[in-house]
Order: sequence, then structure tokens, then C-alpha cells
Amino acid sequence: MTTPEASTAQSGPVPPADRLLDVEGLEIQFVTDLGWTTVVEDVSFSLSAGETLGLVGESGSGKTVTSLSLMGLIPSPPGRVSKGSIRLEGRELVGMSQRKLNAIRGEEIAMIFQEPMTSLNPAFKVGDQIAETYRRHRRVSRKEAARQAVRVLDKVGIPNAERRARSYPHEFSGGMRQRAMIAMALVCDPKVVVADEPTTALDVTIQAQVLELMGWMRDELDMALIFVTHDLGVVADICDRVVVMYAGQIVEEASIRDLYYQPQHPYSSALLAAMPQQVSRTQSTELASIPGSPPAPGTFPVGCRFHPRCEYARDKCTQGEIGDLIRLRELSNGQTSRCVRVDEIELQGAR
Amino acid sequence: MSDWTHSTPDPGAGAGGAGGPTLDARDLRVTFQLKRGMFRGRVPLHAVRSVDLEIDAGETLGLVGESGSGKSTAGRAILRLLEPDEGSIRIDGQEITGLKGNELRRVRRKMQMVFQDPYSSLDPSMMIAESIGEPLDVHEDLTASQRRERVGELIELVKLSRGHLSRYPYEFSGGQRQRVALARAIALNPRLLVLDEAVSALDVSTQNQVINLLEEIQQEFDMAYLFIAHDLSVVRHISQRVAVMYLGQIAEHGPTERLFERPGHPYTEALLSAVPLPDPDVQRSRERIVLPGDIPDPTNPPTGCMFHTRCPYVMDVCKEVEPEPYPMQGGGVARCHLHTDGPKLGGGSVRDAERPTPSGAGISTGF
Amino acid sequence: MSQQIPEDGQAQDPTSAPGGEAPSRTVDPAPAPAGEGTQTAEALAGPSLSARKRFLRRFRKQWPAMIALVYLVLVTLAAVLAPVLATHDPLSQNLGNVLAQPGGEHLLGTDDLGRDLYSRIVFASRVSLLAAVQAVGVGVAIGVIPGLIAGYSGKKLDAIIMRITDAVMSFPPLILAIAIVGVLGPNLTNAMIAVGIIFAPRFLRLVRGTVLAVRQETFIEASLSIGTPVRRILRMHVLPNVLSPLIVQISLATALAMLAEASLSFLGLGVQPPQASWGSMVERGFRHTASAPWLTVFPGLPIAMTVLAFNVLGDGIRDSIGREVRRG
Ligand SMILES: Nc1ncnc2c1ncn2[C@@H]1O[C@H](COP(=O)(O)OP(=O)(O)OP(=O)(O)O)[C@@H](O)[C@H]1O
Ligand SMILES: Nc1ncnc2c1ncn2[C@@H]1O[C@H](COP(=O)(O)OP(=O)(O)OP(=O)(O)O)[C@@H](O)[C@H]1O
Ligand code: SF4
Ligand code: SF4
Ligand SMILES: [Mg+2]
Ligand SMILES: [Mg+2]
Repeated sequence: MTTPEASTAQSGPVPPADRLLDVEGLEIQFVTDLGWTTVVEDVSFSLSAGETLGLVGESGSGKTVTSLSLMGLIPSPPGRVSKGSIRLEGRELVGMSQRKLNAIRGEEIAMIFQEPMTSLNPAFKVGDQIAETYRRHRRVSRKEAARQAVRVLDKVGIPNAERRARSYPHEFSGGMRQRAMIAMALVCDPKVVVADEPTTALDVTIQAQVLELMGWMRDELDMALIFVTHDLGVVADICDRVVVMYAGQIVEEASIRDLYYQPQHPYSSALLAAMPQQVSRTQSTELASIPGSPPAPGTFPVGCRFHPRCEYARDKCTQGEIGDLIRLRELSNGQTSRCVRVDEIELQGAR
Repeated sequence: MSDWTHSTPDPGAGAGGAGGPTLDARDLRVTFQLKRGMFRGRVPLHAVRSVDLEIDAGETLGLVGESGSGKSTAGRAILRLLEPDEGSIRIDGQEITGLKGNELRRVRRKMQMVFQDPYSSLDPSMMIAESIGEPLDVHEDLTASQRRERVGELIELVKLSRGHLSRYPYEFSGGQRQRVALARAIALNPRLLVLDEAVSALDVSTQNQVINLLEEIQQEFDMAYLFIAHDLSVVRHISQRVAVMYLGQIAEHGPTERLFERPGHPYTEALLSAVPLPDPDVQRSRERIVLPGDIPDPTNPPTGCMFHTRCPYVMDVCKEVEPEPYPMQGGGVARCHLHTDGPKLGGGSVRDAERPTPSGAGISTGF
Repeated sequence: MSQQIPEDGQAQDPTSAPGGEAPSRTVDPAPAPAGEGTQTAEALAGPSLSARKRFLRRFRKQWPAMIALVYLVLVTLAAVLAPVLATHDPLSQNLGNVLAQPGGEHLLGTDDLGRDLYSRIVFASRVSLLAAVQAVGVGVAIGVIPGLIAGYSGKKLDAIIMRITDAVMSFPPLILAIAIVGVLGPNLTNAMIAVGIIFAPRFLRLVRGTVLAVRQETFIEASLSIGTPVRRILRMHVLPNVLSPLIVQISLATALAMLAEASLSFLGLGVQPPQASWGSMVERGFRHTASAPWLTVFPGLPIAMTVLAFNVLGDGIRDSIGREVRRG
């Protein structure tokens, strides 16, 4: 498996053949009262065919912004991609014209949003909306597009797809809407699907259905998935590799087993410890928690951004100037960590 | 029938004071009248159908179930924020159904609620000190300095500082707001706290801070908690007993350990198996029961056992006859025919029964 | 309240750097984890202040609103001190010196009857401002209370009030105004009562709508759940939350009232000659746009500026009230 060389600009323009998506040194800013505020910085990762990459982190860590940037969907104003590159099979997406992006969006890279109700138009029939997406990319007759819509609806497990295609979104239940969203993402057989918290708003029972469906997409359709979530249980279920974000930066990247069993960043380790294991009150008295709360953009601490909350923090973690970056360090077997004390400390994983 | 919680002594229950449970709700029923279109009249929606709940002082009862199963409605009916159609609610032995006006307002100090959304449960135009002090203003005649002192104590109790008192809610993070809401809820030393998804909107790290705080405060003041949540891991951690709701009914309840280790109802079993565990090896090797479809339309619930449309163990009898609560080995009850019919589990765990159609392979298409 | 007011310097005030490239980072002085979730608020919040002080502090930072306020105070002063500020009698005609150019003896020139334009504008400010206050006063008086009642009571009362409102709103405003003035008689006060009646349903709807929305908020239920009486809920929770959209609406209505006064005067339904308002002056000047454009421009300018000032002021007040600014 190949891993990106973090924070060092790669000069070789040709990515290895199996790499679909290459993100390098991505920086995203938003205009706020304080001027341009960096919300995502030095984000690099790559994705190969058939691989599922997890993007985890707490609220506000920059997961959604990062995934929107992959689609060229950062709202501008107030946002912009201020640095870095995003290459889809070698083609640079940063700075690409909206017209060209429109041709790629939905066709080669598609997105599934958290709130299915806000991303399906309530005024149109579900089947028509999917067919419309198809026709935007393929020159086919209306009839053929409608046929394709039924085909994907059926594929994602909607019974009576032909009839249900003529329903409006509000006639669907929550789980069916999320399936319809997935169908819309799948209709053009994209190579990469970015799913932003696709199960967060759902009940566990419906989440189980959607996870099952997404696992099938990866296995049967050989799709590359970016799965954004804050639930480490979901990640453990579906991802091959994980990128952990904190305060706009990647703090660790690892294969799924490495992350859970030998995390190399205190934040990952603390997150794992904080998962309420299925252990009752009689067995454990207190839940592990991380003191404090994550910093907001514009108020990131100097040095390691996690240091005010890190139990391993030492003087060397807080050194540096405003704007200095601690580099993401490459460890063995493709694992990376942004902790300066990674060699000195012993971290606990999930059991 | 309304007596069935007593049919087996729960190890977790009855440990409280001699004066009986802090909350004793029996045969609670809440119906909403839904408007259906312009001319089609109203349809009754039985959001809560005959629910019994009992919580002792210092005890936490977890209430879980899918969205729309009636958890919040039950919680709000207990606090008389909704009018129950039927049933009795006793707080520390005092019957509170039928109370009106000032009498009702007076018992409200004994029972308080913390709401899910920390962004809307505090008045954005009020300073924190005013929000926390509001219950005191309403119920107690304090001088300005007594009030200030009490509000100061409360904010420190939830581990914020007095300096936060003259700020506004928008200046706080979600976890901090939830602490403010908690400080306000315990201002009058209530006997019962209903926590409706009180930590669901928070990130894990912050969530745990609030849970630890909740446990600490409960120990200090010997309060009864009704902890409503959909996150089973959190519920397992915080509750001594758990009740599982489905379509307005309690499908199963019992001591936490028994319910999680030896679920007696297929719905409980499925819910437990659907929670992804944060351990890839464990998670990937374990079997997940994928229930087909969604929770049925509550205005038109299935006949017989209301779970039969999704139940992997469904038998013929289930479609016709509504199961009665059956006592479980290890405490609690479950409403399922498997205990008396078919494999005749007799209060054992459904995990011991053989599931007829193994699901979890491929994608389910059972809408 | 026991608070000192240390000088602040945190994120709450837009600390310079408009368009600055580097994000400013506050250095956290305490690397030791304190165990409390206080970082965010510490970083976002300024020092502790009482509600009013906080309002004033925020308001003062809104320089457009400050300018608008200063301008409105000046206009009001001008209206009060009109006899002192005027250089000529606003009503004395001089047919030997009609349509004089600005400059010279007549600062802003003279109108088609040879009256001093500057003095007329100064005196007209009395009429225009009073008209606006009357119209908004009437609108608020008959709109806000029924709106509160309709919003909170719900059901039958609400239905009745809204039926009446809809009936009033179904008339085209101008026709309604003409009809009311026709009944009451054409003078400025009556015209402004008519405008107020037209405004009232809009205030009512706004207040009702906001109350309905606020009623749904969890904090109302939270307050009910601690046993707060309804009257206190209306006073402590509903009204303050209705206030900020209402203030914006009032400022907007004040601006609209001045424009409405101008149009009604234009139709001869408002102020009666030889008295003048800014609006009626624009109308009169309009006949001479080609030969004496200043007759339209000079009285038009204070209308435009006052309208703008009210809008900016309303926005400023709204932004300074301690309401939630949702992020993200
Ligand atoms: N349109 C915007 N304008 C200004 N700031 C923004 C905007 N969108 C996002 N941000 C900021 O960017 C940061 C990252 O936001 P993002 O939505 O990516 O977080 P996230 O990791 O997806 O969190 P969540 O789990 O809550 O979805 C946040 O601090 C947010 O305030
Ligand atoms: N005010 C209301 N009017 C009409 N129906 C309602 C009302 N409140 C709740 N319901 C209905 O009652 C049922 C139970 O709702 P309730 O909110 O109690 O569920 P819940 O278990 O709390 O779900 P969630 O996990 O989504 O909060 C649902 O079908 C819901 O649609
Ligand atoms: S660099 Fe220091 S503060 Fe940051 S995670 Fe590592 S040990 Fe903790
Ligand atoms: S009664 Fe029948 S349908 Fe209901 S849960 Fe038991 S086995 Fe399933
Ligand atoms: Mg997000
Ligand atoms: Mg609820």
C-alpha cells in the first residue's frame, strides 16, 4: 500500500497507477471577522480503487470542508482552497473551471450527504431526480435515463423500484431516503464516492442497513470510498485505512488495525479510550474523557494543536511560532503521526 | 396487567429508601390526534401505550429505542409537559396526575428535565446567571445576595466558573451549555431528572465529561434519573436498569447486565447487534442482525406482536396474538411469544434460540 | 453584579486584520490540561459585562450604525431648531426671484414661487419626521399586542385576528390609504394614520410569526418544565426574542413611512400647501426637473439619507442585542 509523503511537495506529476485520488498539502480558508481564517491545513492523503478511507475527528475538525473540497464544492465566498492540490487520476481539480468540474462531479466522483432530506429536492419525484443526474452526464433519452434510475434504486435495495421511483422524497422513510441518495451517487458508476456522515442521522438499525449496503458497494462494485464520520465503531466496521483529524490537521494516518491496536498519536489513543465500551457502571466507575474542548479555527494553540488537552504534553510540544507546523512524521508500515513525542511515549489502543 | 413490573423482583430496584420508588408511573398512555388532510378528519396516534416505569432514588433507568418509539413522549408525560390520557404518576408517593395550576407548578420543583439540543434549550437572550437562577426566581424567595450565592454554587457544581455567569449561551460550546442546563435543572434539588438525549449532540470527549458529571451529581444528591438515549453503549454505562421501547410499548426491561448479555426479546438482540463496536477485529467477526425496513407507521401498527413485521423469529402466533410480558431469568420482563411458544425459552435469552433465516449477508431488501 | 471590566481583546471584537492572510492564533498560556471544558468560551468570549453595557459596547463597534445614529440625531435637532437654522421665512414668496440657482443669497436656490429652498427643507424636516413617527406609532400600537396574543394563544383568537389581518392586507395599500384619507379628510395626520393602518398587519404578522417560532423553542418548554407562570414566560422569554426582529421592522417601517408620506403628498392626500414636507417638495420640484433639477435633488437627498440611516440603525441594534450568532 502506498502512503503519501506528507507535507513535502511531490514533484513527480504521475501518480502510481492504482491511485485514484491524491490530495497534497491542502489548505482551506474561510473569511471571518478576523480575516482569512485557516480551517484546514496540510492535509494529504491518497485513495486507491476498492479502498475505503475513513476520515474521523470531532465536530469542527474540518471533515466536511475537506470532503467538499474534493468535489470542488467549497462555497466561495466565503471559502477558498488556498494551497495544495487535489488530483483525480492525475488531473488537477484545484483551480479547474466550474464547467469542467461539473463534468467530473457525479460522473467520476460523487458525494453522499448527511441530511438526505435537504439534498433531495422535495418538489420532484425521486426517480426523476436520479434520471436527471444521469442525463447531465450521458446523452441518452429520457426513457433510458428513467430505466437507469430504476436500475440503481433496485440495486440499493429499494423494493418495487419501478413504482417507488415515482414517489416523492417525503413519501420515503429515513432509511429509504438515504438509499435514494446513495442511488443518485451511484447512477453514473463513479470511481470515487465521498460519504459525509451518511449514517449519523439514522437509527442504529437503519445504520446497520446502510453500512451493509456500503460494504456491498465497495466489495461488489470495487468502488473507492471516503467515509466521513465521528463514530469509531462505524470506522471499525467499514474502513481499510483511517485519517484522524484534529483542529484542521491530520494528526494520524494508519491502517485500520494499526490505528485501533497501536495508535501513534495521543489524540487517537484518547478518542479510543473515550469510546463508551459496552461495559456497565458496575464494572468501570468513570468514563475516560479528554479535558477541555477542541479549539475553534483562529484560536489554534501554538506548537502541537492538541497540547492543551494532551496528557503527554511537555515543553517541546508548545514551542514554535504562530503559523509553524509540526510535521506529520512517517513511521513504519505507512503509519504517520503528528506528535513530536511519538518515539518517547507508549500509547494504549482498543484493549 | 398494569402490575407487571412487579412480577419479578429486580436486583437493581428496591434498593432505595423505605418510602418506595421516587418515580412510579403506571399504565401511562398518550395519544396524539393527527390531522389527516383537509377533510379526512383526525387519526389517533398512540405514542405511548400502557407504559409502567419505576425508578428508585439514586437509580438510573435507561430508556432506549428507535426514533419515534415514544421515548420523549413518555418522558414528557411523566413531567406533565404533555397530558397523559390515562395512568398514574407518583413522585415520592405523591400522585401528580390531576394536579392543576399552582399545585402543579409547585410539584415541578421535584422533577426536572435536561433536553437534547443544548443550542435551543437555553434562552439566547438571557445571561447564564439568569437562566440558572430562573427556577429560584419562580419557586423561592431569595434575597439578591442569597440568589447570587446559590447560582455561584450551582455553576461550580457543574465545573464551570463564576466568571461564566455573565455570559450568553452563544459563547459556550455544546458541552458547556449542557452543563449550564444541568445546573439549572438541579437548582431546586429535584428528586427526579429526565435526561432526554442529554448527551447525544455532544462529541465523545465532551460527552464523557458530562456523563461523569451526571454520575457524580446523582451520587451527591441521590436523585433518580430517567436516561433517554439511542446510544446503547452510553446507556449501558450509566444505567442500572434498561427499558427498550418499540412503538410506544416497553418490549423488554431488566437489569442492565442481564439485558445486554442475555436479551430476552428479538428486538433487543437486534438493537445490540447493530451497534458497531470500536474494535475492528471484534466488529468484523461478529454477526450483525440487519432488521428489514423501518419502524412501522404508528397510526397503523401491526396486529399481534407489533414487532412481527421485522422479527427474524416470527411465528404464526405472533401475527395474531399480542404477547404478554413474561418474566426473565435474571430480572425484568420481555413481551415475546418465544418464551411460551416455539422454542419455549421460558425466560432465557433469545441468543439461545436458533434464528430461522440468517440475515446479514448481502443487502437486505425488506422494505 | 460583581464584575470588573478588564480591557478585553479577544475574538469577539473584530480585531483588525481585514483580509489579513495569517490567521491570528491566541497563544494558550497554560499547557497543563485543566480538566475543564473552558477553552472555547475563554477564547470566544470577552470579559463579563452586564446586558446593557454589553449592548452599548457592541453597538459602539458598529460604526455604520453609529454614523446613522449621529445623522438622525442631527436631523432631529435640525427639526427642533428649525426657526434658528432657517435663513429665510419658508413661506415668504418672491416672484421676482423664482428658480434661482443655488449659491449666493439663497444657499440652495429658490423654488418656483421664489421661496428659499434651504429654509423650506429645514422646516419640512419637522413635518416628515413627525409623519414617520405617527405612522409607525399607529402601526405598532395596533399591530404588536394583537400579534403577541394571536401568536401565544393560538386556536380561535388567532384565527379571528388573522382573518381580519388578511382582509386588511388583501387591499392594495395605495387604494386603502386613499380610501381611509377619503373618509377621514385629507390632511397629513390622517394620511399617516392610514399608513399606520397599512403597517399594522405587517407588524402583527411579524410578531405572531416570531412568537409562534419562539414558542416552539425548547427553552420555552424548559421554562414551563420548571413551573414558570405563562405571564413570566411571555415577559422574560417571548418578548425579548421578538424584540430584535421587531426593531428591524420598525426601522424599516419608519423609512417606508417617509416614502409613503412623499407619495401621498404627491397625490395631494398628505401635507397641504403652503406647508411642505420633503416628499411634497420633491413632487413640486419635479415639474421643473429640466430647468431646475436642484428642486428635486436637494429635498430628495434627506429622504434618501434618512431612509438609509433608519435601516442601518435597525441592523446595528439587532446585531448588538445579546442574541445567538449561530456558527457553522
Ligand atoms: N461557510 C463557512 N464559513 C465559515 N467557516 C466555516 C464554513 N464552513 C465551515 N467552517 C468552519 O470550518 C471548520 C470545519 O468545519 P467542518 O464542517 O468541516 O467540520 P466537521 O469536521 O465536518 O464537523 P462536524 O462533525 O460538526 O460536521 C469549522 O470550524 C467551521 O466553523
Ligand atoms: N406533538 C406531537 N404531535 C403529534 N405527534 C407527535 C408529537 N410528538 C410526538 N409525536 C409522535 O409520537 C411518536 C413518538 O414520538 P417521540 O418523540 O416520543 O419519539 P422518540 O422515541 O423520542 O424519538 P426520537 O428518538 O426521534 O426522539 C412519533 O410517531 C411522533 O411522530
Ligand atoms: S506533540 Fe506533545 S502535546 Fe502534541 S500530541 Fe504529542 S505529546 Fe501530546
Ligand atoms: S412475539 Fe413473535 S414476532 Fe414478536 S418478537 Fe417474539 S418472536 Fe418476534
Ligand atoms: Mg461535518
Ligand atoms: Mg425523542
